[in-house]
Amino acid sequence: MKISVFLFLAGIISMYAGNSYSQTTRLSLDLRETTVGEVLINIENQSEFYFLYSNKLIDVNRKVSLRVKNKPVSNILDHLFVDTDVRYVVFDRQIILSPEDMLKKPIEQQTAPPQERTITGTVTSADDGSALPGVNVVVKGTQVGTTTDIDGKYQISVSESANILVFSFIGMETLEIELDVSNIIDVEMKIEILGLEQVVVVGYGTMRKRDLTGAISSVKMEPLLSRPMNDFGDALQGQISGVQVVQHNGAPGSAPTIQVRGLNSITAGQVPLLVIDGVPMESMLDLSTYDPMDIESIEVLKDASAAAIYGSRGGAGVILVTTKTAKPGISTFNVNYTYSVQTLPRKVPVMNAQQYIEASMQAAQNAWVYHQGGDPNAPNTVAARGHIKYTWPQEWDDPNVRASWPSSDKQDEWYRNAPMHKINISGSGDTERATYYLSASFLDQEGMINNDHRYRRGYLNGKVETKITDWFSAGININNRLTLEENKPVYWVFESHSIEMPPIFPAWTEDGYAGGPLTVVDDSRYPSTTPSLANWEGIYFTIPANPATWTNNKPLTQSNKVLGTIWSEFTLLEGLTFRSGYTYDQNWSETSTYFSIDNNLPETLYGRGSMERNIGRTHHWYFDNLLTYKKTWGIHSVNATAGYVAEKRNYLGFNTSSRYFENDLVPYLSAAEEVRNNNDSESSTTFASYLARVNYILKDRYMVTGTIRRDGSSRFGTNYKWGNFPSIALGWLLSEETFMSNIDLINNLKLRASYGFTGNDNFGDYVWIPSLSQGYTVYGGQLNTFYQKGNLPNPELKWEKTGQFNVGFDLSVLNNRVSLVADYYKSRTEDLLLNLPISALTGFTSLLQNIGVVQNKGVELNLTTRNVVGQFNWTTVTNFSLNRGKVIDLGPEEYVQPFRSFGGMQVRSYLDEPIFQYYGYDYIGTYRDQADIEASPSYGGAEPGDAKYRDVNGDGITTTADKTLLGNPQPDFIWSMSNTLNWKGFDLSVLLTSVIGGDKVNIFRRRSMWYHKGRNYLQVMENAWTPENPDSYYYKLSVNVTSMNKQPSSYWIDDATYVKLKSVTLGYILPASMTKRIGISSLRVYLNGNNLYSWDDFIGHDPEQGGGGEQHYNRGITHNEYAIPRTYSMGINITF
Amino acid sequence: MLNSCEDFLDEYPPQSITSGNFYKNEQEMVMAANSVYNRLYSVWGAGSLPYLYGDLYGGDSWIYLTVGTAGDWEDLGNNMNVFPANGVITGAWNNYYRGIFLVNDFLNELEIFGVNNIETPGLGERLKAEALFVRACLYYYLAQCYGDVPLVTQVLTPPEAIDLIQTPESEVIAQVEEDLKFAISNLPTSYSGSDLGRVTSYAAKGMLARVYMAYGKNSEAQTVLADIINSGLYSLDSNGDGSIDNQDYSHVFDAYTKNSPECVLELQFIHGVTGYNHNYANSYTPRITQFHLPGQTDLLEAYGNGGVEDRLFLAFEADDSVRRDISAAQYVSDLSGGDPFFCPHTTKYYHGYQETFNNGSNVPIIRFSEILLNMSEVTGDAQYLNRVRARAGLPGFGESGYPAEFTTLTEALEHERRVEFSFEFQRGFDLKRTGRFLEVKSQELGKTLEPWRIHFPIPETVLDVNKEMTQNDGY
Repeated sequence: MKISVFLFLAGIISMYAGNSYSQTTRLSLDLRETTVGEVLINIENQSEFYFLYSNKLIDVNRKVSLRVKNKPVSNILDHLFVDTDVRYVVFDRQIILSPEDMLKKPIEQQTAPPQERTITGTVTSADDGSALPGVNVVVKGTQVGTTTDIDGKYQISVSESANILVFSFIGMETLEIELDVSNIIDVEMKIEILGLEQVVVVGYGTMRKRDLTGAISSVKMEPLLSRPMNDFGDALQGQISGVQVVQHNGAPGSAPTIQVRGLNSITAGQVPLLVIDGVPMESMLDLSTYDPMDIESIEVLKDASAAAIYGSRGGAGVILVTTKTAKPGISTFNVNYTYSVQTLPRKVPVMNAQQYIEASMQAAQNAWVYHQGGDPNAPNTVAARGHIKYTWPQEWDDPNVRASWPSSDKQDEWYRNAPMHKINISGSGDTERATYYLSASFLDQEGMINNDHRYRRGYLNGKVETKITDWFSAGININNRLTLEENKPVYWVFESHSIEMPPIFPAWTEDGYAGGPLTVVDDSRYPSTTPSLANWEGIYFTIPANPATWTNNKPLTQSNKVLGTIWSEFTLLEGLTFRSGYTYDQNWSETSTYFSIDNNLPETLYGRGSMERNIGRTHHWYFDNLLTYKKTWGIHSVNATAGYVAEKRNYLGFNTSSRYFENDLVPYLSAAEEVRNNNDSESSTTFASYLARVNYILKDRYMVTGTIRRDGSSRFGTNYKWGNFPSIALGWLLSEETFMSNIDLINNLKLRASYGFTGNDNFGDYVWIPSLSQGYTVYGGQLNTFYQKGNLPNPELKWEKTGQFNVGFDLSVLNNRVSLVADYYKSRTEDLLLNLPISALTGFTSLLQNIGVVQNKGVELNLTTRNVVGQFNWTTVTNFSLNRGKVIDLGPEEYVQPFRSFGGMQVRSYLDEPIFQYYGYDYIGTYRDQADIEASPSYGGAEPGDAKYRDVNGDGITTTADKTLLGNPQPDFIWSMSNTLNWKGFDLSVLLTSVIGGDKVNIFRRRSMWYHKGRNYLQVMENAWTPENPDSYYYKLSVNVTSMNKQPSSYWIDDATYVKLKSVTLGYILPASMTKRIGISSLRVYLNGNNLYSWDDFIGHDPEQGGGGEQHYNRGITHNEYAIPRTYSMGINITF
Repeated sequence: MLNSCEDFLDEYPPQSITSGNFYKNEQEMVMAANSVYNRLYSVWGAGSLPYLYGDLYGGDSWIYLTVGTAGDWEDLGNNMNVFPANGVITGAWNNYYRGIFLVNDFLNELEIFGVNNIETPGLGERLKAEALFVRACLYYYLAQCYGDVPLVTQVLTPPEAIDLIQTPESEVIAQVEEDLKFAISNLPTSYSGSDLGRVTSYAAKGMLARVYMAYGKNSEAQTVLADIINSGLYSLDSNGDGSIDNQDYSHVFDAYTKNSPECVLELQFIHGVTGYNHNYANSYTPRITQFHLPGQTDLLEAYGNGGVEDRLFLAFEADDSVRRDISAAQYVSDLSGGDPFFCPHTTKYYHGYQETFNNGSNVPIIRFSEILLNMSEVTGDAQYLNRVRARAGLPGFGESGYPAEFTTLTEALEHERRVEFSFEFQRGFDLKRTGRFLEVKSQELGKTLEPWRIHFPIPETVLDVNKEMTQNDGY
C-alpha cells in the first residue's frame, strides 16, 4: 500500500474523526537538544497519541528544544514543525506526519464524499495452511460482508469508517481483525477448541463451558437448519447422548417425544420441562413456539444437579431454548427458503384383490370345516352351510372371475407426494445503545394424506434490548405464532382404512361415489352379481370405511400463540445485577369440524350433517426476579444467583355441537336444527418458588456448585404444597494442573461429580380436593339434579422425588482432534405418584398415592473426532446412550397396571423389571393338527391351525395363568452418528440414528392378521396355516376366530430395532466473486434428504412411529399414526 | 410474602362443589338422594349384570360383530367361555360396587345429617327406603351372577376393603330381603305428578317376589304377588284404551305411553339432546353401518352388543307376529334399493319412535305380565299365564290351539317368558331358577357346559387386590 494512498485516506478520515481527545488533552514538555523522534516518543509516552510517519520523508533526527505547559498537542506540533514542510493530521489519537505537498491534494478534496477502499486477502487454516472457503467476512457493526471463495480468497469493499473485520466459520474460532493501513489482510483461523470459553445457558443464568459442573449438553442450531423440521425439538435428534427424540408421528405440526435419560415415573407424566428464553412452557407442544430458524441454541440439563434449579419440574430433564439475538457488532439481513416434497417412505404390505379373495374363501372354509365340523365339500350356499358367513360370493367359484377382479391399492389412493414451502426472513443489528432482532417466517405444507390436507404456520418475532445507562438496561420480546390447518384427516379413517379396506372395492366408483359393497352395483368393472356381496357377512366392512366418504367434511383448526416478555436489569454494584422480568402468553385454539350431508354416496345414503366446535384458551403469566453476583478476585471466582419466581396458568375450554342440517351450504352451528351439547371447563395452576445457586471456582480449576429451590404448587394438599430440591456438584479441571502441563497429548481434562434432587408434579389439578360430581336423574317427566362423591381424594399427595448421582469427564486429546464427554448416572425416584389399584369394594378402583421407587442408571458417551482437518474437513460425532431402569418398590403391590390396555394388551409395571411391560401370552406358533393339540398344552376349543401359547406354569393346559411378560418398549441402547465434510465451497453431512432393542406392539398385526370384519390382511398371512402348510407360524384364517386366537400375545409384537439414514445434506456456497455482483454477501444452496432409509423388521410405514404424545405409557404402541414422511428438500440461504 | 404465597397456591376447581360444603340442608339431601336414583340406570343398563347374564349369557342375544376387543363379548354371549380377565364382567363388578358405595355413602351422610332433621314428614324414611331398594337390587344381581360376594353395608376406606372376603350368598340375600322389606314399609304405594316414576312399595314387592322365587320361597312370593295383583293399580291395558289386546304389547315399549298401568317399575327417560335418554337402541343392534331401521330415516351406527339368535325367531308361535316383530326383526332395508339386508335385531328399545337416537322411551323393568307369570309359577295356576296369552291374541294353556310341544305348565311358562320378555334381562335368571340353565344352554351351544358355568368368575383384577378372596369353582 502506497503511503500516498494511506495519507490520502487519512486526510479524509480526519475530516470526520472527532477531535475531542486532541482538543482536551493537555501536555507539558521540557526538552533540550532532543531529536524530533525523541519528542514524538515523549508525547506518545505521556498520552495515548501515536504517530505515523515515514523516516524517509520526515527528518526525525533534527535536534530541537521545547518547553510547553498544558498545551494541546496541536500547539506543540505547530512549534515543533515550524518552518519545515512537515504537516500533521490528527485522527483521534493517531497523528500522521507528512510533507506538505503530499497532503495538499487530499486537503483540496476535503469536501468530496467518503470513499471506500477494497481489502483483499486469503483465509487459511492454522492447522495446515490450506485455504478455507465459505468463511464469512463481515465489517463489524454493519451489514457489509462477503465469504471466501474456494481458494479461501475474499475481496471486500469497506468504508473508511470501518475499523474491524470479523471472520467466522462453523467449527472455527471467530476472529476480529483491526484494520490498519494495509489493504491486504490474510488470516489464519484456528479450530474452535470445543468452546471451553463458550457461554452455555444454565437455568436462570449463563456460565462458561469450562466452569460447568453438571451434565449439560448444548446444541447449536445453525448447522442443523438444512433438515426439514416440524419444530426445533426435531433438531435434537441424534445430537445429544442421553436424549432420545422420537418423531412417532408425521403429521404436520406434531411435536416429537423427547426423553431425557430413563423413565422414572409410572403414573405421572414424564415430560421434560421446556424453558424458552427463561420462561417455562406448558408442554412439549410448545416446541413450535418459535421457528427453528430463530433458535440460537438448545441446552439440555440432564443430571439432577443441573435440573435441581427447576425443582419440582426438573425430574424429567429440562430443555432450555435460547432464541436468536443480534450478534455483537454485526448487522445482517438473511433470507432462507426451502422447497420440499414429502413422500410415503414405504407401504404396509397388504394383500391385493386376488390374494384377498383367496384368503376370504379360505377363512370361510376353515371356519366351516374346523369350527363347525362341516363337510369340506359342502356346496357354497347358505342352505348347505347354515350361515352366510361360511360361504363366499358365488361368482368367486369361477377362477377367471377371481383372476380378473379389479384390485385397488388404497395406499396409492390416499397418500400423495406433498409439497412444502418454508421461508424465513430475519434482520438484526447492534447499534451503540440498542440491539434488535426481527424475523418473519411462513410455512405452507400440504399433508401427505390425500385429503386436501394443508398446514400453514406463520411467525412474527421481535426482540429489542437497550442499554439506557451504564447501570440500567431493558428489553422486550414479542413473538406471535399463527397456525391454520385445513382438512386434517381423521387418522383412523385415512391411516387405518387405507390399509384395512378390502382391495376388492375401488376407492371411487365410475359414478364418482365412494367405493363399497353398496355402490359398486352399477360399476361396469365389477361382475353384475356384485351387490350380493353386501349380503355377505364376510365383507361387512362397509362404506364409511372408505375415506372417500370423509373428504367432504371440513375440519379446520386455527391456533394463535402470543408471547411477550418485558425485562429490565440493574447493575447495583460492580458484579451485582438485579433482573426482573414479566411474561404473559396466551394460547388460543379453535377447532371446527363439519360432517357433511353429502358424503360422496348416493343420496339414499346421505348423512344428516353435524358440526362441532371446540375453543380453548390458556392464559399464563410468569414473573421472575433474579439477583446475580459475579466476581473474580485473585484465585477466587464466584458466580451466584438468587431469585423468586411466580407463575399462574389458567385454562378455559368450551365445546359445542349441533346437528341436522338442511344442506351443506352454511356450515355453521346456528344453521342446524338441534343443539347437541354445550360444555365448558376451567382450571388453574399456580406455582411459587425461591431459588439460589452458588458457583465457586478456585484457581480456575476447582469448582463447586450448590443449588437449592423451594417450590410451591397448587396441585398439592394444604400441608404438602412446598418441597425443597437441593443439589451439589464438583468439578476439577485437571488439565490446568502443573503436573499435567507436560502431557502434550491431553489438551483438556475435566472431572465432574454431582448429586441432586428434582421433582415431578405432572398430574391433574385438584386431585387432592374432594369434589362432587353433578348429573341428572329423571322422574316426574323432568330432569332432577343430583350430586355425588366424584372422586376419592388423597389430601396427602406430594411430589415425586428423584435423587440422582452423576459422574463424568470431558477429555480432549491430540491437539483437540479427539474429544470425549462421558457420563455415568444413577437415580432413584421415590414417592412415586402411583395410581394404585384399590379394592373396588370402596366404590373406586384406583387411588393416586405416593408409593414406590424406580431406579435408573446409565452411561452416555459423546465422541467427536476431527478426522481430517484442513482444506478438506471431516468431523464425526458419535453419541451412545444406555439406560437400565427397574421398579424396586411398589408398596404392597407386585405389579401395577396403570393404564388402559391396547386391544387387550395390558401395560404393567412389575417389581424388579423395567417399567411398562407388555403382558399377555407368549405365542409360539400353531397347532399343526388335532394330534398336536392333544399332545401339547392347549385350551378348550382349540382347533388345528390355532394359536399355540407357551405353557408358562407348566401345568399342561393353557390358562390365564400362562400370561407372562412379553417385553417392554425401552431400548437396550441408542446411538447416532453424524459426519460432516467440508471441501472448498461444499459441505456434506450425513446423520444416522438408531435404536437397538426394545419391543413394539403393532396394532396392525393385531387387526390385520385375523379375520376382522372383512378387513384386508397383511401379506404375510398368505403363509398362514393350512392343512397343506401345517408348520406355519401364522395361525389359520377363519371367520370364527376363537377367542384364544384373539388374546393379547407376543404375536402382536415387533422388534423395535432400527438403523435409520435420517438425514443427508449437500450444500454449496457460491463464490463470493459471483454473488457480490448481485449485492449478496453470501449465498448457499443445498439439497437435503430426510428420513431416507431404515433397516428394520417392523411391519408398517416407519419403525419410529407410535407411542407418542405426553402419555409415556403409550411408548412402543403403534397403530394408525400419520405416516412419517420421507422428505426431499432444496434450499437457499442468502445473507445480504 | 410466604403467607400471601400460601393463598396464591390455594386453587379449587371453579366449576364443581367440594364435598365439605354440601349435605347441609334438606334440599341438598334430596339432591344427594337423587344420585342414588341415578344408579338404577346402571343396575339395568346396557352392560349391566341383568343384561350380561339374563340376555347375553343365558338368553337369546348373539354378538354379531362388535367394536369391542379381544373377544370379551363373544366369549360371554356366543361361546359362554368367560375368562376372569373378561373386561365386561370386570366392568360390571366395579360398577355395581360403585353403586353400593354411593348408596352407603348417602346413608352415611343421611345418618350424619339426621333422618329426623329432614322436616318434611316421612321424607327421611322414604329417602332411606329408596336407597336400600337400590342396594338390594345391586346385591341381588351380584349374588345371582357371582354367587358369594362381599357384603358391604358401610363406607370403607381402602385399607378396610382390602381384607374383605366373600359373604355366603344366603347372608347376602338375607340382607337383600331385609332392605326390600324396609323399602316396602316406607315407600308410598303410588306417585303422581313430579314424583311419577319413583320406586313404589309395589315395585319393591315385585322385586322381593323375584328374590323369593330365585331362592325357593314360593309361598312368601305368592303373598307379595297377590298384594300387587289385588291392589287394582295394574293391568295389561298398556295404552289405557279399556280393551286388552295385542296392541297393548307394543305400547309397553312405546315412547309415548310411559308409566302405563302395565308398569310396576320402569327406568325413566326423556327424549332429546337436552333430555336424558338411553343408548339401548345403539347397544341392542348389530354393529353395522349405513343402514336404517324400518320406518326410520336415521342412518344407524350401532355398538352391536345384541343381535338375535335364529332360535328366538323359531320360538315364536306362528300367530304371535305382534310380539315377534317387536322382539326380533330379521332384516333391515338395504339403502341401495336392493334386497333387504339380513340383520336380526330387536326393536324393543326404539319401538314406535321416529328417532333412533336420544330415545326417550322408558325401559320397563317389572311389568304386570311378569307379576302374572310369576303368580302362575308359584301357584301352579294357569289362569294368570292365560291372561298374558290372551293379550297376545293366543290360545291359553290347556285350550285348543295351544302348542302341543309344551305339555306341562312349567314348560309353558318357560316358553311364554322367553317370547314375552326377550331382551328384558330375564331368560338367564329364569333358566337358573328352574334348574334348566345347564341343560338348555348346553343344547343351544352344542357343547356340554360344566355346572360351575352357572356363575361368572370373580374378575381377575378383584382377586389381584382382594387377595384373601377366592375364585369361583372351575375358573
